[in-house]
Amino acid sequence: MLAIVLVGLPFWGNPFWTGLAAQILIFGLLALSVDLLMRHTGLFSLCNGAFFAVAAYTVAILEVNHGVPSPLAIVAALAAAVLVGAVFGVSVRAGGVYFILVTLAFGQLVLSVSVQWSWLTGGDNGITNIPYPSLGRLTVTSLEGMYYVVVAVVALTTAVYHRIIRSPFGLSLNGIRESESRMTALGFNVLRRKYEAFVLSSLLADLAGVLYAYMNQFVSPAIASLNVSVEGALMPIVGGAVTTLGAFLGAIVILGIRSVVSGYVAGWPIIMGLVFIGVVLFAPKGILGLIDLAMRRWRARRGGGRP
Amino acid sequence: MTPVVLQLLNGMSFAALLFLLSSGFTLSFGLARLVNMAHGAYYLLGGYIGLSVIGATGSFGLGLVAGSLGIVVVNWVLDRLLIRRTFGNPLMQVLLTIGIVHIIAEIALLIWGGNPIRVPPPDWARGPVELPGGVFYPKYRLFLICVGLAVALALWLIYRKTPIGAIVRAGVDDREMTAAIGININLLLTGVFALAAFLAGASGVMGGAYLTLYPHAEWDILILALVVVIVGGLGSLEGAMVGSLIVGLIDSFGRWLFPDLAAFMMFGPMALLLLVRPQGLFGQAH
Amino acid sequence: MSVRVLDLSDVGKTFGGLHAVSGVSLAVTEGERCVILGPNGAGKTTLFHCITGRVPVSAGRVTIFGRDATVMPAHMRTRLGIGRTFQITNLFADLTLLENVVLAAYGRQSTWHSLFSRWRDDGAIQKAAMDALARVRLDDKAQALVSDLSYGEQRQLELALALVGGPRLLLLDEPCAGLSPAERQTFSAMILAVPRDVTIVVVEHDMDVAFAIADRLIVLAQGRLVADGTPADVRADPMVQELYLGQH
Repeated sequence: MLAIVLVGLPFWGNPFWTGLAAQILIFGLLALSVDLLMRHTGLFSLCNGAFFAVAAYTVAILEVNHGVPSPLAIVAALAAAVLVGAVFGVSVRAGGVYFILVTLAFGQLVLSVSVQWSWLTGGDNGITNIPYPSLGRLTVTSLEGMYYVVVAVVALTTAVYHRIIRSPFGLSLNGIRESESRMTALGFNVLRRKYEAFVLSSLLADLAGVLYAYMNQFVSPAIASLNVSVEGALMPIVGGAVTTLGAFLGAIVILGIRSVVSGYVAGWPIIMGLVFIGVVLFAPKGILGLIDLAMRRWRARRGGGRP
Repeated sequence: MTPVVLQLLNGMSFAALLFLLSSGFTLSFGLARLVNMAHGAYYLLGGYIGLSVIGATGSFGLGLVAGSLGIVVVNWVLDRLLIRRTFGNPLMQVLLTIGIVHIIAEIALLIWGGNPIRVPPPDWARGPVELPGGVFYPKYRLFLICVGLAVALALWLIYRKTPIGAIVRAGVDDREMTAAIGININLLLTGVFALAAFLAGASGVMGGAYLTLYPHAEWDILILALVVVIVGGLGSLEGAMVGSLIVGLIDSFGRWLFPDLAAFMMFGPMALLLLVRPQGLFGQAH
Repeated sequence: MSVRVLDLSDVGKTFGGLHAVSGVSLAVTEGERCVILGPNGAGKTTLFHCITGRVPVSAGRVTIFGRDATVMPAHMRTRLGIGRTFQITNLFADLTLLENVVLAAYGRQSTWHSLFSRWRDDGAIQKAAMDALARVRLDDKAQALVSDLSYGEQRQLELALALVGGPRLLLLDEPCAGLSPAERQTFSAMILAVPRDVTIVVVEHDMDVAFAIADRLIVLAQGRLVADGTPADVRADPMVQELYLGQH
């Protein structure tokens, strides 16, 4: 059913909704990358936005400034951002709260570079006119075309993500989340596994970044800001860390506030702030969690009416 | 030689500012494992409040007090209503306090606008002063260094040499035990948080005269304060001192020598330190 | 030809100024059932941590299966063929019993874990996991969450995690802690049921359990080894009697 909605969208909606849907899918993928670390491994990373930005900028720089053909640009972008992930991965040596703070600080490094190295990144102006990708003779020529590319890539990646979660690797991540000391006692090299998860997460964020660059055709330091990482972390929480769908549900909510609400209300960051606070205090298990709770209560009321 | 001295002083004045902000942050963490991202927003708001009071009264001192106390009140309200409810859950605490930053920053933008504003320094601290060797340096920054040293000394003495400091240290070491021996932990927490808020607000007023106040300053300063506590070790006062000095000096020398690479000079050593000593220079190993 | 499974040579551990363990030397041969006894604070758990690698030793050498393990990290010692339990139950609370033992099986198996195959499809692992659960009589609860188990059942699961995959050396840290007398009996029986080619070293507080399973008793007091021999010899040792006077 979802597939029908996704595929049919460009036909009965106007470009605004198609573009928004693409954004939701892209950021949903970013949210998924955070989800891997947060829900499955117990690591709260606030620098996934940085990987996203590095990948997007690399695509932009190579395509626009150097005319590099798309396949090469994409591979280079993924490689560059994974390299950054490999370097930032030292943060897994830090435990608990330290990890959150360190990833936050690392993320800022990328932001600084995107603003200061204007000879490379266009500084505050960013890079515009990113063309749609082309593979030899196949070229994407329209918004709708790019949208379908996004749908295909995100769908495929989500399917792969599903596999990874159900694999021995994925199970080991859950074990780390539950008890690192137990995992060590069982023979796992916990530090190495955390590092591997971190780099894998950066790869997912990279993919989202590549898609973003082509879909938006414009990159600027705004995508390297802390907001991207924080909202990326908030999406799985808002959506509900129950299933993979939660990440996308959260993306709908957060992006909905950003693009739709901001059109009507000045001072919309206050609304975003209130959403953060509200979710933390009242719905830490997200929308899916609330639904789950409501369903349980409803079932209990139906069944427990009799003495 | 002269430029080196100038950069050294720049680094130290920035270090003084960073210490004012990060000392409270690190002690709050040490005592209650509190990670309050809003510390940067406290800096900004405190600075703006001080700015308005100075504008109304003409007195820097009054502005400083108003900014500091104002943040103590703001923090007390936020703490009671919201922050206390996230104790024990670092991720939620980070997300909640970031939400608070969004709100405070937007309110500040609506009230004070988006242009960078400099807090007017006190009359007696304006202008340059001549140092031995014929070097001229802004009087205000020397004032900032003096304030930083004074606060550092005062905090250190209280922390290491007084009974109340001993209680705080005991709380940092083992909160449950400290509560078990009859110390009113709640009162202690409120006191330390109030001090942290006071220093944050004060740093905003003092920093606003040196660096100006502008939207996003709350993040710029917070990130550096985080590097300070990561390098120095969360929960350690000495760590905040040493960390502030390191970050302040790297910042000024980095900007002067390699402006393009300044960011790397800051985060590179931090990353290296993490490889070797993840808990920071003075931090406790978990 | 008796294989020396565990060899401690003059092992010591100091925390700050405190000598938790000093000058402990002992050798355990294959198939032995060794119990380490001692009053609280004798250094039993610290010695245990030195063997498993949880804390590095301050002095001396630790040799496991003939390999110098003194500076070997804990997870690598496990790979040599060790299964261990924790004194304070340390399980994966939000996972099912099956998931717990499957992880234990994977841990022992290899360092590389597939990213793309489903672990539920791995027949060999499933069998090894269910075998271990069966040995501790928890196979009917394979799909239950650990957090839904009783304390006693959780202790049984601890043992299962140690037994998965057939370790050569079992290290049990107060396995019967907090169990009722009846549960202790069942537990002792489970330990005795372990095949004879597996060496077992148990840290225990409870004398009954100790005498039930031990071929050999090692007594620690204040970090030092004060007795080492068969249960009968140790029981007769006047120093040990004085140590345990009124303790039991």
